[in-house]
Amino acid sequence: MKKKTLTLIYFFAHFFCFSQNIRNERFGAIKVEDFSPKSSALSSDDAAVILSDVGSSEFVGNNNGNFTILYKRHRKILIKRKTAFDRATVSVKLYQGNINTEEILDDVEAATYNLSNGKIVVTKLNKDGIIKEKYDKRHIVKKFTMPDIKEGSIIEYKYTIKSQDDRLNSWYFQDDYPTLWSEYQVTIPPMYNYVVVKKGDYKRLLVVDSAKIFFKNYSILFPGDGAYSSSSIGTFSGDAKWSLWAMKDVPAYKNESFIANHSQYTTAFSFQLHSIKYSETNTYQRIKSWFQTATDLLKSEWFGQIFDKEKHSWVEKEATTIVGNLEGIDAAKKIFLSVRDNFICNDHDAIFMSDDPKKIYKQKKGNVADINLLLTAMLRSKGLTADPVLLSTRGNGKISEYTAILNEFDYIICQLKIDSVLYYLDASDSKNGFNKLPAYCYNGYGRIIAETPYLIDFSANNLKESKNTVVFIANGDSGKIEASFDSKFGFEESKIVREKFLQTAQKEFFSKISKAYSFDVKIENEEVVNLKNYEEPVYVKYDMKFTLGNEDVIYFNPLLTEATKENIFKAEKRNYPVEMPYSIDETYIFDMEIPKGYVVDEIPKSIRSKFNEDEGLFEYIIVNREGHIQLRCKFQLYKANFEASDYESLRDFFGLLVKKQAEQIVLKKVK
Amino acid sequence: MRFFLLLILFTSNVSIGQEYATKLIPDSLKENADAVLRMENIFVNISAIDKAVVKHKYAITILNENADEFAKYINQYDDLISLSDISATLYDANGVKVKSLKRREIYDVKSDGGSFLTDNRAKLFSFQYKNYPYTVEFEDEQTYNGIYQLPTWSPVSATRFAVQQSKFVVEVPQNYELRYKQTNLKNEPSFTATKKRTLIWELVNYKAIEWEIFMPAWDQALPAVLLAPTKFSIEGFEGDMSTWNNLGKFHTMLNNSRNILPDNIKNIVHQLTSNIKNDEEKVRILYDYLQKNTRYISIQLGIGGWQPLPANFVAEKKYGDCKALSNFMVCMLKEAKVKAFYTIIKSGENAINKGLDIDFPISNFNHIITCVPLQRDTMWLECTSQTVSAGFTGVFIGNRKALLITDSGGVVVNTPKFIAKENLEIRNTNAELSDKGDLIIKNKTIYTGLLQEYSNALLNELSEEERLKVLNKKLDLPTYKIDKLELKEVKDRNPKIIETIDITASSYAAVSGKRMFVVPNIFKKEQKIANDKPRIFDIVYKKAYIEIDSASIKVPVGYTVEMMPKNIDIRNKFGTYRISYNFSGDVIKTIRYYEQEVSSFPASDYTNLVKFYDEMYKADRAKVVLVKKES
Repeated sequence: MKKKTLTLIYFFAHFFCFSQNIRNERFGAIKVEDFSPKSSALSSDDAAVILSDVGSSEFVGNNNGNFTILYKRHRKILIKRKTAFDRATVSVKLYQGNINTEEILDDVEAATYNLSNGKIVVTKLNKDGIIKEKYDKRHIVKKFTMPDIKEGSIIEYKYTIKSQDDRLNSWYFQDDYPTLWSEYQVTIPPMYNYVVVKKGDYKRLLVVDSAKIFFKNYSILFPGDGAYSSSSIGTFSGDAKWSLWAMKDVPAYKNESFIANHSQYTTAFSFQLHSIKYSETNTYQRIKSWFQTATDLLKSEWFGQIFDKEKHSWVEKEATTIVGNLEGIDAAKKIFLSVRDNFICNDHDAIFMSDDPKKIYKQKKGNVADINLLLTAMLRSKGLTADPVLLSTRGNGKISEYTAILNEFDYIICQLKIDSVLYYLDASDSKNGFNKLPAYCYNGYGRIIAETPYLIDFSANNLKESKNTVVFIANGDSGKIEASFDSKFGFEESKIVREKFLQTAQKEFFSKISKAYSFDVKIENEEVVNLKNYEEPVYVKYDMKFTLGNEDVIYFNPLLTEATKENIFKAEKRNYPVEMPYSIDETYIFDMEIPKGYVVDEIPKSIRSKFNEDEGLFEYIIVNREGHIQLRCKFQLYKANFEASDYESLRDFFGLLVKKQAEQIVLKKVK
Repeated sequence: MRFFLLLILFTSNVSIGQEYATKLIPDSLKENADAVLRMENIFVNISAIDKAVVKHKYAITILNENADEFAKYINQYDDLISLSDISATLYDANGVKVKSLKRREIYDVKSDGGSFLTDNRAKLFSFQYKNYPYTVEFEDEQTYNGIYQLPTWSPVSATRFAVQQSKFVVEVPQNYELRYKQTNLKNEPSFTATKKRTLIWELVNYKAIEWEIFMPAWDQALPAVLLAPTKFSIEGFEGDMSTWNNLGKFHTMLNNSRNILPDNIKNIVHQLTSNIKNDEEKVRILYDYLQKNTRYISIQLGIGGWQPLPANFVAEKKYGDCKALSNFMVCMLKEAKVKAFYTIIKSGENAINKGLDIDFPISNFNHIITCVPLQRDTMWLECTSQTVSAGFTGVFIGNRKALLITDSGGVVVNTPKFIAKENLEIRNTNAELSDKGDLIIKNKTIYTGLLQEYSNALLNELSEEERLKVLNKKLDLPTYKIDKLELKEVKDRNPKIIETIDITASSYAAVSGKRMFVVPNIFKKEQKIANDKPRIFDIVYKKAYIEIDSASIKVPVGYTVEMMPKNIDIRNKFGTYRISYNFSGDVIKTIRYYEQEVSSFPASDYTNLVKFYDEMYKADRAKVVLVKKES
């Protein structure tokens, strides 16, 4: 065994030969220049600068018959302003399963450097400054906070995490603060294969992108179990893969509104285990072809086994109780409603079932996979064509379209096909209508898990939020003006109204509406339709009475409460694409009988404006004829996703909407 | 200083499930309610000056999903208070038991997330159920190993939360001097006295209340009982809190021998101050040193929740919590021969006007500051901030009572009052309107006192880019961009922020044919306040301030005024509001003035307050109509 260890050291030494061209800086090598860094990525405004961030992951054989991954990190941060003082506290979360699998934090070294009269003053972190804290049943946190921190301090720390898991740490080249140098090197033993998922602006920023294959020996001690077998040493040799990536002058990541998921644009590499080749004949394949993945999923007891009619014959029995004699779409609706209304979803982030399906059915509680797979199974049991679809929700980031990386998914819905019509169902929220997915499902592509596992387009461009409002105003008795308001909302706005109704009574809801008018109105016959009917959008209807006073000149915005008053695009500049949750289609129809005793002095001009030729339309057509003023105002954006280069014109387009919808009708008293 | 944790506590009782049938809730309690406290029993059994057991049992009916939060169990523990015997049961609408909690379902988490190091933890658990209404019943037991604070009874724990029945029972030995203070309760407790003395409070059929604007502080508006020991003992430290002076003595003792500065810091103090004659100047210099060289890190372990880390700890690490940093500051001042006091206070907006109750000494503070009595007046130092001006108190610690810790015990003092003319927002706007309706704005605003706190945070907590981002969203203008922004701080006891800001507001005025509609009051627009329900609580203004906006808008060539809004001048007990307009040459001049004092009014005044706000709402948005001159 001793000999093997020595071999290992030899290979380590050998290994470092490859690393000479990179910045393997020794701890404590802080120079006076580091206190005033220069780089194209900096602005005078930065609260902190990551001077360097160097990491590596490598595998070593351990004494438990496995590999240990050593993840090393060495960072230097210049803290320029107090708002970045939180960077002086470092926390590392560590898994604590059993003794063989727990993660260990090791080799911690940390120091603060301050510049005093041109000299560097070093304050080291005492070892007793490292604090252990219980995090939850399976994790602890180890942390330390640096001494002697003030504006202008540099902190430096390094540590090693040893873990026995095949999870390779992701590397974020980009931070909320600018990073002058960020590098990550990974050495992967011969038998392991990983897929690297790259995100952000890496193509532009990479200054080192090298890889080498070299021969390497790994030895692992397999402990015996005492009486029956003694311990043995296994040696694995072959072509290890070494990669090194480095980026220079990485700008700070800036948040912007209307981005589905920020991780999509933060420059980072992550690693997904693809396969482990134990021997020529024994390979564990984690990432497979989509065909193979779908086949495996459908067989898995945590996924598709619930479709097995023999093993789970109870599914059909339960489904029959629910549907009775109904068939086709009626049966499907009945099953959907029953699952939706009787199950609680306690985890909206799952693609595998959490427990035995029967148990879940009994408990009426489960994660989104439990609920929608059960729904799918029940539909199938009644002879309907239903298949699960894997998705990544907006909060979870985009999927790799062609590689079957299951980790990238976080949601399951059900595709139902009746007479070649497709329906998409999600029974995990009691407010989801039949064939109405929540907006967060629209995030690029989904993957159907069926014999042919194809991609399904769930682009936000496909989700349309429509709203139709009709207002009629007529002259009533004794100088009063009477009006009717009737608005059919889009599904997302309907959701918001439904949420509101949980907290406010109808009276308050309409009281708020009446306050939104710029003049005093009396609202009556108010009605909200479809509050509980989630398949249909909410309608809000009411009549109202008001007087225009006895002024000589009356100014009147025909959009009433429906005018868009603020531009949703506030920021002047944009770095990333605009990802709105849905496309928009709003129509406002207004018809007003000219009040008795008044004539129209002026009405706004009609206009019609297109966005990018064929991507949107704004129309404001107003006429004064036969004693009526009639307005049709349409605002349409045919898609939801736009390039950053479209931002300025998009902002102007919304600006035009706001501007036009503020215009007034002028009525003059007949003298 | 440790935040006083609302200690929720439990008792054991045989329960008969059917009691929880929701049909047994009176209709009046369901009104405006999302949840109803069906029963609660808090049994506080104090057996010695350092021993108490608190048994808590309660059941809450969740009427709808807004109240799901109440289906969660959470209670805290630390090195001095243990938590045990947790049980939980879920009942359906008919009061039939659905399930019980299993031990492995309880989470154990760190409860004070902001602390770097703390023994404060919590156990939590949640039923997930959606067949409304349903009822949850929880039970637990806390054992106090040492007593410094005792549980508070405040059965109305939220808005839209009704109380059917809640009982607070306190049992003490005959010779134990328990003190209590009850608020918003009609009846004194009933007593029983056998071998032990028992006090019982009960609240039944208390209707749900809703949040109201200008509401008094929660703990002053609702039924509650505070308990305080007289003699107490914690971690071997004994004390007496029968008077504020005595409570102060306990802290004098805790702070004892924690005030030794190492030589290097003493030298720094001498270097910085030996040539300075004026005490106030010394305070400023040392406070500046503190702000530039230390930072806030919260460390709370056992008695360390009340006892500062020694001055030499801060000297070495350059960090500490409010206790440690204030103690360090007091030590530095002492070294510079300036007398200063470690001061215990209740921080936050809720404690404005109060802070502590002169007649009821109790330890329910959450913060420590430094008080420096000077010849002319007193300076107050907030030692956990690296940015606040020396001596400024503001919303966080101003206008309330606090407890000085002197060598001879505690002394109750007042922090500075809020006075309207010290808290100003004075804006001067010069703007030019184009014939397209765009408004080019140049602004200069001076903020002082309470009204500079927001801009001060913008300046000190955010980067320039973040500031612009915040302000580019915050202003109440349709489409605009900030062309230039400059914030300058003038540090003083009453600090000042001078803001210079240039804005282009596109389509500020609506252009319709030959007319233009302009709201000449550009920045300060009051909102309406709700009037759909009868007012229950008194109306409380916690702040005093004055806003003056003067705006000149140059109208485009060829336009004249067709209609001007009327001047408004309202003076009443709620405040003073004036807005006036003037058009001369080609400039619309608008002056808006608003002033209010710290004050409170009975609930019956609310209708008039609504009217006042409606009038301001209308006046703030009144439009000038411009029309193109006939040529």
